[in-house]
Amino acid sequence: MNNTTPRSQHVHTTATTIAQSETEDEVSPFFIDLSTLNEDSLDHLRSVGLLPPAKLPDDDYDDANDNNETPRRSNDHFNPLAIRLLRSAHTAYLVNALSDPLSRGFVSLDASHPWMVYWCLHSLDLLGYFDDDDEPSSGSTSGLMSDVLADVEVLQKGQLLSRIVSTLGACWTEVAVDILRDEVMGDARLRLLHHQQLEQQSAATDNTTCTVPQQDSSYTAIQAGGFGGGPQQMPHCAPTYAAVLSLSIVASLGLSKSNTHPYYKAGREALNLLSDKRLQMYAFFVSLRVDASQLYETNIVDSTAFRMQHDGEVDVRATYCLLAPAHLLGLLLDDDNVYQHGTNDDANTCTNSTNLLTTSSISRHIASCQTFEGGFGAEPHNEAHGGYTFCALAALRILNAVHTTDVQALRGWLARRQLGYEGGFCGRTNKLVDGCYSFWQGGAVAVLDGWLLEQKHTDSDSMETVDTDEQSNEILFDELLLQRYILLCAQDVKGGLRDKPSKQRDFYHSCYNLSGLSVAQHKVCHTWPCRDVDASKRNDGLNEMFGDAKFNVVGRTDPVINIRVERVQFMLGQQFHDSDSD
Amino acid sequence: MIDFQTVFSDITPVPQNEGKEPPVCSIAYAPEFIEAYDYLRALLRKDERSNRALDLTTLCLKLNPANYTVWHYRRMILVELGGGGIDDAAITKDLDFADDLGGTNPKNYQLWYHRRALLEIRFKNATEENGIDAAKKELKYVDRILEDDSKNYHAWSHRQWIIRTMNNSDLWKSEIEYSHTKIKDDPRNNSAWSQRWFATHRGQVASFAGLGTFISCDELRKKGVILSSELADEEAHYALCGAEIDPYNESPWRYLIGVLMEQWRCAQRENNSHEISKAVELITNNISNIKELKHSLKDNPPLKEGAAPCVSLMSALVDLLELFVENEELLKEASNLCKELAEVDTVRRKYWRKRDANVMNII
Repeated sequence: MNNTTPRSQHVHTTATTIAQSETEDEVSPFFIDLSTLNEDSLDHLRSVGLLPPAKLPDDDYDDANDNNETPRRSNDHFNPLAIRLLRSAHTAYLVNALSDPLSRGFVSLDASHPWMVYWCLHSLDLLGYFDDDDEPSSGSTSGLMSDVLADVEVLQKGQLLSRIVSTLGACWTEVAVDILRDEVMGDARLRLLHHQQLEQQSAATDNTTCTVPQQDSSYTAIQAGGFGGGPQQMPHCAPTYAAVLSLSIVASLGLSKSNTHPYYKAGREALNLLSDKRLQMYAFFVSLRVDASQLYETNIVDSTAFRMQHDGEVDVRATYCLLAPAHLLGLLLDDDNVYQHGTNDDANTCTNSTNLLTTSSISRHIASCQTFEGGFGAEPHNEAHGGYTFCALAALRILNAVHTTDVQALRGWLARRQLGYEGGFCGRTNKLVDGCYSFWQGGAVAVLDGWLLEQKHTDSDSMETVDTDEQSNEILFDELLLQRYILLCAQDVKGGLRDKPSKQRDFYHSCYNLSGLSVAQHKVCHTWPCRDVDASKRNDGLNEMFGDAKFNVVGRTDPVINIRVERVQFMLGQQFHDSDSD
Repeated sequence: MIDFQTVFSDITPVPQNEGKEPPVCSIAYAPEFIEAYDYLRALLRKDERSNRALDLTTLCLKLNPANYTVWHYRRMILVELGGGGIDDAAITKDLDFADDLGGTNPKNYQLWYHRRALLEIRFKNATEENGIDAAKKELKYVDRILEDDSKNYHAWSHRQWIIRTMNNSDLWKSEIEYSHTKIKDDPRNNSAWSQRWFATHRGQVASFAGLGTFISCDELRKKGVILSSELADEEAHYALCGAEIDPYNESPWRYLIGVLMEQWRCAQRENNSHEISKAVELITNNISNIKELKHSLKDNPPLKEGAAPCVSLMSALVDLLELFVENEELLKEASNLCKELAEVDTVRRKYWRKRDANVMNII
């Protein structure tokens, strides 16, 4: 591809233009025309895995790529200068991070354990680490050493998944919350949870001192819960998001296999954990609501924001971090048929059910965080920022309220965030490229494009109807340039991905570079959740690919939730039965 | 450092329970980290709110300032020790503590939230005058942080919170000045442009989609939710001056479009002919100003390389021209610009083709 995209321009030199020029200088060596390199340099690139081996054996793709779902185009010509995703180096880095103790320097992430798990697990899932692992053949009669090793590997992966569930389970904590009695009675999920807890209490009080429920109070005490940043830490939205997404990945991996497969047990445990705790999480989320009309005096009546934790900051991250897991756990449905087996008086006094996490006051608050630039800030009037924009948009998608924002302004702002020279995204206007925005901004484009595509499919009067562009499910940003930035500038040859070449690799940047790569590679889905799960196995499901196309394909992530579409599909297919307490 | 054996002789430390299987992503803690946190867990379990517990949170936060559970616990202890509130001396002490932990470029949520939580109490308890003084002092602190990192997101957000909370006319005015100073320092400091918007709007939100009941433009202007016509004129002028300094700088252009679109959308929404003609005039004036700048750039290219196409300027023009949905000439102009942008702003070629298709669709 053409390596000479124009550099940024300025008339007036400032701190910003200096930093920008330095960054362009920093990345430019990576854009060198490979055909001008001497054989020694090419050999070096081959030895680290950035280029395919010089002489490619016929079955190289099978060996190098433990992911058979990558499409094979038999008519593809072998290109010795096609840049490769360092699959095995990244895999080793991430597996190591999960399984071996991290050095003491990681204590700054001691309140982010579920995040670390999610970053590594989702990255590995995108790399296809858990794909197509056959069950160890009980009568492994072949006797081939390779088969035996493969069996051991699958067992080890199964153990890793079990350890993940155990670690996340240890991060679960409960917290007593007071919720308005009327709200508890008006919400089928809270009613059921309250009822279950009363029954548990009365069963427990048979042999202990009886605590009389305070009937006169306008509040109802509920034992809520969520995941904390580590064992014995307070529940918090962000680790709850990370833990629920991780457990969903494990559940989907395990339960799509037979019950004798090494992944199955971990999958079962993960789903049980989620299923046991989901109503308590719902109560926790509800207890984090904040009256935003009061907080921001916004002239907007009835607007709801959320705190990240009790006694914690309010911003749109919180809204997204609780809506995404609530969506996966079927907690945003308005259907209260499922909940009609409550038998006590309270449960029957109210037949209507209001879902407290889908009220229009929530999307009203999110919309008020959109700025004059078009992106969203953490709170009303904060500067438009990639991370918050993703959270705002994805939350609105979940609430089916994208139309309440200025879509054209948002589209323009997102488009302007891709840097012409570097090819990656920046987080804010006049800021530097950073690999993590490959997903925050790139994913937001995918969410928005998907929504617009859906509008077009469902509403013929939509203003996007006339579309001269025949490839309308192509993503709106420049997917080749983004892939180029990720593959050339963000990969550390030792494994792991980074912000930019001068920065160290880390789990966070590994996750969001790979997620961004996924978004850049796969065509936009016109439904959400995406039902065409197998699209990525076909060539027509892919965008234009940078580098070694066959080798570089990663799994398809759901841009709203950011776990693979198969995982979302699996979770949404679950019927959670909130059994009465036993 | 704490002499645990003496100070906590009555406490049995509680080790971290990492689950029944070998944990993933576990950290090989230093021995002093384990000791401090084992005792912390023991005190948390008892919910002991004492001076020694406060000292322990100090140690634990030094070891990891991102542990939100410890920060929360610390606030509970401070309230308890203050007999149900936190006195001003303790607030000062803890603000300093948070400052020390953050270093010169604090970027963790907990440190900033701790400041907010403490200052909320200080502001609430203060007389009006004392409150303003306290706010000014905190604004100075934030300024010090912005000296080091002029785009620190938390710091700007914190400034907004202080000013919004005090809601004092002088503070609103001086914040416009402050943003101006920062814009002068670096016209590409987009945070400063964003702050200017916040200050000129006095923190009020004009999210038209969100405004439930219909309020007239006049009403919105009176409340200050949208700029008065005069102020809109001034701010558009300010933005254009910024764009003249460096037309390749996106920030003033987007500020300009923001100011103009706000007036336009309000008028559209009201569908009042007087309002609409006012907005049309404002935008028409600005279109000619932008075109003038465009021509002067062509005649006197500011860059050595020659007349490099100015994407930000052209984008702004498209945004304005396409508003005139009944004027085919202006729409064609917009369409031509989109076509040109698709050629010169290659990373966004698909976007410009879409924009062009939308404009053509109106024609």
